[in-house]
Amino acid sequence: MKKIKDFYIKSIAVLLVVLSVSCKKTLETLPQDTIDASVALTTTAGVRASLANIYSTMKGESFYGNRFIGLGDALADNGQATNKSGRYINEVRNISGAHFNHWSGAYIAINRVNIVLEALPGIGDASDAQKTAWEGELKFLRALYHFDLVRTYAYIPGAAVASVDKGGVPLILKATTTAGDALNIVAPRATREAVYAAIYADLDEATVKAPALGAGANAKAFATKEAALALYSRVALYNKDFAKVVSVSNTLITSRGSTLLNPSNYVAGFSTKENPESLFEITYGIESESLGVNVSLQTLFTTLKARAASPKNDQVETNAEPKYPTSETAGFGDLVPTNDLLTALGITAPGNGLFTLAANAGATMITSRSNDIRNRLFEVGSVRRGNVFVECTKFLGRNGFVNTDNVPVLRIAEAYLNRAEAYAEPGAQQNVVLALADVNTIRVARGLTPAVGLTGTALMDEIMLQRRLEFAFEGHRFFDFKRKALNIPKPTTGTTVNFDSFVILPGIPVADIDASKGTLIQNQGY
Amino acid sequence: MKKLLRSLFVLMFIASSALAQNRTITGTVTSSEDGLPLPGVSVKVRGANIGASTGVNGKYTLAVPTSATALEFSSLGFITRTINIGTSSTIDVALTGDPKSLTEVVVTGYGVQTKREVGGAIAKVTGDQFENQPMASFEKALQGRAAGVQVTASNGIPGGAINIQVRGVGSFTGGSQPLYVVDGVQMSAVTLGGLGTQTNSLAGINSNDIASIEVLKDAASTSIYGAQGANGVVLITTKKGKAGITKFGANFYTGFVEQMRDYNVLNSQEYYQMRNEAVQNANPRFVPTRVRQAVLTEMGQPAAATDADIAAIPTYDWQDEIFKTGRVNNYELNATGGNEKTQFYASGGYQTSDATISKVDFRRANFRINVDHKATEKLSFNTNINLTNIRQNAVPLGTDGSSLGNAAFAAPLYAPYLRIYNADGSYNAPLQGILNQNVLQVADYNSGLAKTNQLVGSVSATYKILPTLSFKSFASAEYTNIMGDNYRDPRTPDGATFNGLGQVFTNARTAVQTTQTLNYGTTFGKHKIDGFAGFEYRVEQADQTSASGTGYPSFLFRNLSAAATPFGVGETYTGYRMLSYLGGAQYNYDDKYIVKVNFRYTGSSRFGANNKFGAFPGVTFAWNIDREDFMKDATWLSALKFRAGYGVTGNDGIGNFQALSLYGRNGVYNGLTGIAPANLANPDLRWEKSTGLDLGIEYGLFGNRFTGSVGVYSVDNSDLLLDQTLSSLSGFGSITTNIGAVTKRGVEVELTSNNFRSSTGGFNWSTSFVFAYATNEIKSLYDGLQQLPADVNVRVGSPLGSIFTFQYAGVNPATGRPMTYDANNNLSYNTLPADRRFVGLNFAPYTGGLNNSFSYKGIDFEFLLQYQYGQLVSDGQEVFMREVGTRAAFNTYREVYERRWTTPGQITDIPRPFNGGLESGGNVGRFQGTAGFQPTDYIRLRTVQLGYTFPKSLLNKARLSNLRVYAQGTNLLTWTNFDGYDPEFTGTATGIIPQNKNITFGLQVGF
Repeated sequence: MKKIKDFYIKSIAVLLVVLSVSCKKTLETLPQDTIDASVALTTTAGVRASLANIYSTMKGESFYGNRFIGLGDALADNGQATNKSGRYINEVRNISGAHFNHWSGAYIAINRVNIVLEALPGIGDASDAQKTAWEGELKFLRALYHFDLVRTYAYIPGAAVASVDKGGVPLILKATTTAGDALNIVAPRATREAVYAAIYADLDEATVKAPALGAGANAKAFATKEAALALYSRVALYNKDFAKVVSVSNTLITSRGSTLLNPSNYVAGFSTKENPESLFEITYGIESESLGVNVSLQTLFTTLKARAASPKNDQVETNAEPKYPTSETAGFGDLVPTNDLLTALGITAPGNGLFTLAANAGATMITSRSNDIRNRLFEVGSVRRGNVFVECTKFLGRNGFVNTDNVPVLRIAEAYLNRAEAYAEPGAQQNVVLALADVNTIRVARGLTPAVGLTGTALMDEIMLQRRLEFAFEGHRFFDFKRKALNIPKPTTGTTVNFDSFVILPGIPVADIDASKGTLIQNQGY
Repeated sequence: MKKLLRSLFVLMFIASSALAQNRTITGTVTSSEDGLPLPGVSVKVRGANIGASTGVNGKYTLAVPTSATALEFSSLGFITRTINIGTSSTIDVALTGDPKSLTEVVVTGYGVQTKREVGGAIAKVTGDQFENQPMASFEKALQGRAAGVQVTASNGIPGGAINIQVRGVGSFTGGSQPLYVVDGVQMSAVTLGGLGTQTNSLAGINSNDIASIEVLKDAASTSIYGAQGANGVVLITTKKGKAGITKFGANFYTGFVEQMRDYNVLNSQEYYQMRNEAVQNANPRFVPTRVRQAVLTEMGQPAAATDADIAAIPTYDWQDEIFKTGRVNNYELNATGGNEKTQFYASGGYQTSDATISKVDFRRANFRINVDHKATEKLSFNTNINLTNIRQNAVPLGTDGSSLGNAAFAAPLYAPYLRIYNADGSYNAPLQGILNQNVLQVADYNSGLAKTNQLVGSVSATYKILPTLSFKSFASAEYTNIMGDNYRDPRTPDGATFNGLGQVFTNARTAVQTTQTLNYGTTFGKHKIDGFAGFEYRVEQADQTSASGTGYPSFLFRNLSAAATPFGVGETYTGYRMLSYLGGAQYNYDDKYIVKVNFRYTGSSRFGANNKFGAFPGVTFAWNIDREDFMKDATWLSALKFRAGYGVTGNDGIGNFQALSLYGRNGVYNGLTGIAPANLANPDLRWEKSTGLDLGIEYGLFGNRFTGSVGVYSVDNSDLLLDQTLSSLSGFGSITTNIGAVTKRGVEVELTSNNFRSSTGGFNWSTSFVFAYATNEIKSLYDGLQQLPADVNVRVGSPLGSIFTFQYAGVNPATGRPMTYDANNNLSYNTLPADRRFVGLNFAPYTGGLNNSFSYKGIDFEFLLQYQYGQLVSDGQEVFMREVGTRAAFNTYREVYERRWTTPGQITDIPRPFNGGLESGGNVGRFQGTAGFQPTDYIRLRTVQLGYTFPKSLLNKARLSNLRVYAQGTNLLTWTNFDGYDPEFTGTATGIIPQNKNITFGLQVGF
């Protein structure tokens, strides 16, 4: 019997070991790299960090970090592809699919805006004034994300191909936070009118609630009243709401018109981290934010690491005097100006793209330049990546690190040109004298003589030419064709992309079309 | 749970009362074959639970009650004998081997079975089958030897990632790797990324320490591992000590590692011609002289170069310069011995292996000791400890693709006219074009090293509560620490950008596991009952830190402390816990009918709050038909078994925190760190459920001259884990859910034929053939969808792993432009999603191997062929190699060049060279759809070995017990139409260091 007793004592001991481990607690393992969603957005720190994330999306390759700037010129008549890394060849050829692709990233960011907006009332450690300022900032961001979607994925008001017009884009104004809502979301494309109305509504609040633009360093990195006015001016122009363009531009030019650069400081303005003309810049603060040698705008536009002084900036480098140390490489310089744009900028370079180190070392490639100060931001590239082209140097590691440049999104010059165009358009606001005055403000600021006596088509042509020169390699050109329903000439091939071609609009990601169960309509041709 | 356990206890512990003992019998058990003593033979009093086992010398001592009438002597592989107890107190017995034996022991997880008892599908590979093969980790030993177990090396980094798939794929985004269990220790089979190298967590085990590898394939067998079992379980058993005089072994081999194949690429003149055509075709308005000048200047030649000058442009063989012959060395000592109470196996080894690319290598020192000790008749201990130190040199250029600067990627692509070295012997760098880094310079100047220290140890104690009942307490720890660094030299283009970039990282992984089991086993008459019950708890954690800095004073300073500016820092943590209750029971009637049941109830921290725990039962049945009376006369039949199994297992192969609603760091803006929602909560998240039915027949004919097995299975996987793509309008990318169902089906055949058998050391020849067919079908998705929104390849009714893409139609004979077929089979220059069609599978449904071994007197020769059939892949390197002049300074391979379109009317599949690739007006490219895919079908001479064992008579004089010399080769020949480096690659990434072939020579000494 002793054995049996012994046995029972042992087995009870074993049982105790088994059962002492309570199931629930033993299985608890919480992450340390991430935090519980319910506590993430309850403090000022949480809001600030969320805002940083929402801004940071715009730095990405699909947004202002690369495609928003590069595509505006590649899809139009400003850019030609050099095939140095193989990038942007299809974009320059307007091939189906080589287009904007920020759809998913933008909607994810919009939801994050909405999440923070809905969380604002519950932030315990922030003043009401602070919450109002945040609201203004968030509304600006939501307006910008929606606008960048609707101007690309949909036709622009007054410039649609009716037979293939699928309306605007989905308008997302409420936060999705649960799996159930996320799995079952239904958001068809809203009408263009509804989307623009929502953008107006957000900007109406942003222009009032967002903080004023201060003088501090990096102040332009964030949304301000002035940034909201500048965006409003652009949105109204696209919406062909010319009276609105005039009124918001007036307000903005009154406060910020003096920041317009002139021929003496224009090149310097484009050589510093922050452009004095900017009202809103996508800002890169630290080296690790750089998009790197494959994706950054510097690598896309140029093989250079620094601007050369005259006359070296017009010459092909030599082995003896390279443009930067031979152990270093800079970018690929995949997208460079067409000869057509160079001519418009007043640059004569007959050997563009044909010169090489072997055959032309030391040769002068740019044989003459006009007085247009803007052409000083274009110079002969390096021989390191093959044939030499004239390249745009607006992005040149200005932030102090290679491949890292702030991206000016809204500049004061645009307000002048928007207003000039609005004054030149028919309507109650039409005033060709003021239109000419505005365009001359820009001409003079860029080293040109004032134009005289322009009216009608000649006036509008001059305004559009100044837009082309002013914003070359800043991502505007394609939209200037698109919003005016114009065919796009392709100077390198002598062909034309007609406005009614389906490649004017990008395709919506197929995954979203498939997941929408028929509620989301794809653009024609995809 | 409590109730269940309690009733199990009661069931098992019906105690037997003690009997008076008053007589002692002793004796020796020997083998009737050679008269040698047999240790470990079970000696039992018939009808009572009194027994002992024989010692090393075959002797036993047993106290028996006066009532005892007979003793039973049994041992695996021998016919059991019953001897009546007479008056003598000494009973010596000779046991005869069981000729109809299927008695080999099979490890099954938490226990062993005799081969006769196995009712599941278990593949077994023994250590002697892969002894001395020069491999850094043992998984390669399974290549071509186990039906339905597909082993592919992900790259040629020694000690790098290896991918094993048991019975093919059946999950969308759940893990596909099997569970590894080494002597009861569950190992996390992960590939730990160093910077520029990879460390496979299983590479710490010396394959020569392995006694056997068993792969549990069917659901019933793997159900004992619950939610970890669905991808199969690989059980590794290391060598155990043997009692007797201590035996020493020494092993040495050395050899060469070489590139398996080179690309046949263009010379400078062909390259010139290709670029000439490409530039002309893209610029039809250019006159030929202008094209000629453009291409010549692009190649760094004078624009006025004559034809004779062009013919004199030298060609540089980059591949020859980059791929080198590496060395393999292995040194090893082992000892085994002990006495009745204590046995040990100890081994130490040092292995070095180079890759075919500088400076990638692998150096492993490891030490293992396995000790068994019997403290008392009731209490015994076992401990296994493996210590490993691995050092791997690496070059920070990317190991798993995407890096254009990777040496293997760049080698064949460098334009042939580019000098490798300057006239003064310095590196020609930077180079022209997209491949601007001279990889030889980068490999020379940059440096990287990953140091791994690993301990895998376990200790267990077994206490015999009753002769039939024992309690085993097992605890184990796996500790892996990797420290790595790398340095981008400021003299290289990448390093120059940062003025030197240094990075360091550490990765510490800890896994602790404990298993407590009660084991029961008894035999009465023809009935044998075994069972066990217990629980297991496992915690696994990993902590990783990293730091990097830039701005070094010079390339001579390479430690992070010399950096001027911090560049980045990182720290991550991950972990999970698992708690399981498990049990099993087996009933064996006369080795004729065997029923085995398994049960596991597992909870995992990975799953949602509503579904933490799941139940995984399994049952197998084995019927040894040859033991039936009606088969008695069939003497030609050595063995015939029918087996069947049915079970439920799970797949928990998802991230550790996928069920929770989380916010994570996301993005940096203007130096400010952002946060964003990282994960949507899914409280219902659970393991993927896998229900499998398995049937098989195993046979042996003519005294086991021919043996083999045929098995079929059908597995229904449901609640599949999927990172379900959400509409981006929701603001989220994906959510991990359980959706859909996939059915897997397959056939597995193993045949062995002893073509010639000689018992006197004459000529022996045996052949083994292994074949498996595995396929699957997607049965359902979610919301009635017929196709996954994010993945065109996942469609109901098609196998998972289908490839849906455009059907390439070759080139327009008139213009040389590539075309595809649209949905209506019309030729098209522009593709639409609807045009995609089923073109093939991304996995090989047919796999297997053929092994032949010959021996004659001391000479042995063996070779293993391994094959796969039916897979299509798009190889990243291939796509670049087939560009044919699309961009400057990129070579192409000759076969494709020779097929290019050049003249109207020419029928071919390779478009005309075209600078920039895509021609305007349409999006059909050079590699559109099927043009980018090719079959990987291959037969590979995986291993071949020739050895000579010196005769004993000679060795005795030298006081050696064994002496063998051998030569061995791996991957020496491959028959395939695949154009890339290696058809075995599983990924499509560019820039993988390819697998190599090697030849080694070895010497094995025993004394």
